[in-house]
Amino acid sequence: MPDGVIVDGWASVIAAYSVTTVGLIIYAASLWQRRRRLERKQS
Amino acid sequence: MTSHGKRRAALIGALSAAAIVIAIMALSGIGDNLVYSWSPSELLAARQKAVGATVRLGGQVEVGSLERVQPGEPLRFRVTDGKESVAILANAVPPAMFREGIGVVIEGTLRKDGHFETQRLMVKHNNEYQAPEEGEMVNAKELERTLEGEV
Amino acid sequence: MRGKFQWEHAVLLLALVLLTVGTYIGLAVAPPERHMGDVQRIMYVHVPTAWIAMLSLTVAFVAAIGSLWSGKHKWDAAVVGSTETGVVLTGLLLSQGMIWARATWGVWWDWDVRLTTSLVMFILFAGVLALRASVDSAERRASWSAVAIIVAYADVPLVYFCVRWWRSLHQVQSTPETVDAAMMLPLRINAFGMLFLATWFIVRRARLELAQRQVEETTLPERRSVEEVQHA
Repeated sequence: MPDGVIVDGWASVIAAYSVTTVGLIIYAASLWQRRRRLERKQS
Repeated sequence: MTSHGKRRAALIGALSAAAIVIAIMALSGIGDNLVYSWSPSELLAARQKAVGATVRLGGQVEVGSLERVQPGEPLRFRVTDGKESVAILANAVPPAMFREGIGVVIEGTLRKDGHFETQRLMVKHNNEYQAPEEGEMVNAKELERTLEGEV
Repeated sequence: MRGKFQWEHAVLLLALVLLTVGTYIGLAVAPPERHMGDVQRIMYVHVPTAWIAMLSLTVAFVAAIGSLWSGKHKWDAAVVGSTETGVVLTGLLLSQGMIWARATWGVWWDWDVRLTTSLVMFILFAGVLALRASVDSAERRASWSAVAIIVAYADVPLVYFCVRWWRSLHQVQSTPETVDAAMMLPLRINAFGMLFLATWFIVRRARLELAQRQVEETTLPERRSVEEVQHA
């Protein structure tokens, strides 16, 4: 076999779930931040 | 025209545009011209023309064709469509699912000596997802053993 | 606006419970796949993400029709909420897909029809959001983005059907007959979890849009067009 490592299943699983979790949290945080900015503008 | 009427005209225009795009894609057979991959039979039939060009070869890893190789050497196996088969020299680390009998798509070039050389080996998976049977378990270590033997 | 109980938070709670349970079952209880091994567990997040991304963009399509037909602010708010959620989910879908592809196919990316149409879906709808950001008039922003969404939506059925119509690296849709029962359970739970989570995102983003529009109108009355006054 050529040099290199066969990609490990669990490492990929952890990467996929982490990317998704982080992405969703970032989007939720962005919504929260935009709302806060708007509320400051209103008051 | 009122803006109300303009909006509704835009709505009809947009819906028609979307419907036309879908109809063209579905009915024109545009995809028939997009050859995703060649089968071994197609490749061998076009042999002279195919030599040297970068093409995609699709088929199954022929059962019994996977050779044991030294670490660092390219993988050697044959790809078949049931009728013809092509000898492969793959300079790529295979994914863990790689095994005899599985579907592959290989991007590379056919050499004059009849070997198909590639650096891009892709393994296909079908839409079946089953639990392993007793004692049956896939993993990367297992694949390495099959390919290189006990070190 | 504040202090009042908003129903979508109950939906969020339900989403988080379902996603936690579904992911736990998917990662710790369900069996590995016989040929693919443990990496198949990415399916429990990838497939629900794909379903709900396409569903969100379908909601955007319907809302765009409603927005053009009626000109009501509520429809435009629904357009933004569902488009933004659909774009976020499609972005995550592509990332998960690349990770799964590297492990099972052996490559990060390939220009097969499913991957290409999905990338096109991401670019088109992200383009709609960019278009919105560049238009100042609320009225024009609503009509232009609605038209763009309806045209862009033509790609969504292609994403779904392309694997049946044309040869590709990506497999065709699985069905309950081709998936082990032990794997269907976490898949279904996570699909409902993702559905409720997307609902929360869409509603929150839509409420934000309505609130922003209200502020725009009260602080910048001179920017209201005759049209907007008529519809207010």
